[in-house]
Amino acid sequence: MGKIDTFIIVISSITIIVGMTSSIRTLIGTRKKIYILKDKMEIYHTVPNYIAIKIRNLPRIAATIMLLVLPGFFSASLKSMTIDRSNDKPKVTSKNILMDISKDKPIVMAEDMPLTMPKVLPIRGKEAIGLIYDDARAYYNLGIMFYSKGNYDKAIERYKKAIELNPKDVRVYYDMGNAYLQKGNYDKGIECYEEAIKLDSDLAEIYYNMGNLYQKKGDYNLATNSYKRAIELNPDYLEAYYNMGNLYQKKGDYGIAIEYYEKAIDLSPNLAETYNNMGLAYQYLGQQDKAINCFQRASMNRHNVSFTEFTSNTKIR
Amino acid sequence: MVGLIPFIVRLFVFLFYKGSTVYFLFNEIDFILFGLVLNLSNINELEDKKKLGEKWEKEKKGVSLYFIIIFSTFLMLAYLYEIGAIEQFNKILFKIFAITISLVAFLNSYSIFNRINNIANGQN
Repeated sequence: MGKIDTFIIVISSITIIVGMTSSIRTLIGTRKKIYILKDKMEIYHTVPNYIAIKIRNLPRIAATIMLLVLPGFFSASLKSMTIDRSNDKPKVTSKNILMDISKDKPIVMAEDMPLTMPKVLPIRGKEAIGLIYDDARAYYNLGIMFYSKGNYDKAIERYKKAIELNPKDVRVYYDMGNAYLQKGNYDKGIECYEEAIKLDSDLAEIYYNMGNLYQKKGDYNLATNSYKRAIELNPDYLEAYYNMGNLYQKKGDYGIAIEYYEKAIDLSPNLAETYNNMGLAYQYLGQQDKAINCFQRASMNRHNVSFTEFTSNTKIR
Repeated sequence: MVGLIPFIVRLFVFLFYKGSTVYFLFNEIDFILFGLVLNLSNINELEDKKKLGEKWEKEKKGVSLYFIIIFSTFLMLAYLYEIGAIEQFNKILFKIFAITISLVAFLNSYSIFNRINNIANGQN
């Protein structure tokens, strides 16, 4: 056997060993990890910055034991979900469930575990896993979060869950009504506001939003009554006066509209929209001088905070 | 696929040229080129994909680079034999090892692409 033959044999043997070892290690390492739980897992967003993973059919005691005794087990199963942290908004992908999370702190819970503000247990200083307990407030908070993101359907789902757990919270009905209003589902919105009124009939905001809803529906008389009730409960309700003025303008009662605009101006003299709309009302009445005066005032105040910013998302005080 | 072009062309020639034998089909240079193309593709894929795991990525690039060097060496030996620069040479042994290493390179490539696909599907 010549030198070249020996060289070929040695080099080939080394290459085959290296290649096979590397390939087999990679293939073994790629096998699916801990898929027992994967099919039973459901990821959903709880409060901002956390994701919660519900394991279906897992008894609560088992989840507790697993979290305390086998943190590595959960750590591995969570890794199988591929948390991509390469962007500013990390994403978790698992079986076509795509969630945006701003911080990847996965939280695991059994299906019937209650949910509330998370308690995070640092495990080995790495991924933090904790138990969450639910109550109506947590679902309400979730609803607010989805509402703020414009996801009204999910917001309504969470509000409904909150109501199931605590049917006496007026805020939930009120916010649910707002969500239906945003969706354009006026009838449902009215139902929600009416439920809220049953719980607390002294909240001006509910009547105000009901007035907005009736106005969108075209029920001007009912809108008027709602706004009036809001004003009775809160005589300084700027938005209600403004909207009343608009309502009367739509109805063609410009004189009454102007009265309401003036009340709005008394409460807040720097809002351009009020002057503008009052100017239009004067114009319809044929009082050009007053109209011009109003438009000039509107122009002077055009850089102030607009009514849109001022009146959106009115909260129950 | 690019690496299979020499095999396909050789098969084409074998089918349509009466003077060719079965041994003509198994040429070591084709296998070496196939292995080279596979390992170049590996490096290209590993460069392209991020977040595979730094350690694993480096290992695989290292292995692919090593294969490229080995295949280049074998190619050089084959060309030297062709021009008569080397005479004392067991051609059959060379052929067997060239084919074997190509198959190992194929397995290595498969493991890399399998891993990349699994990561892409969220399974790792």
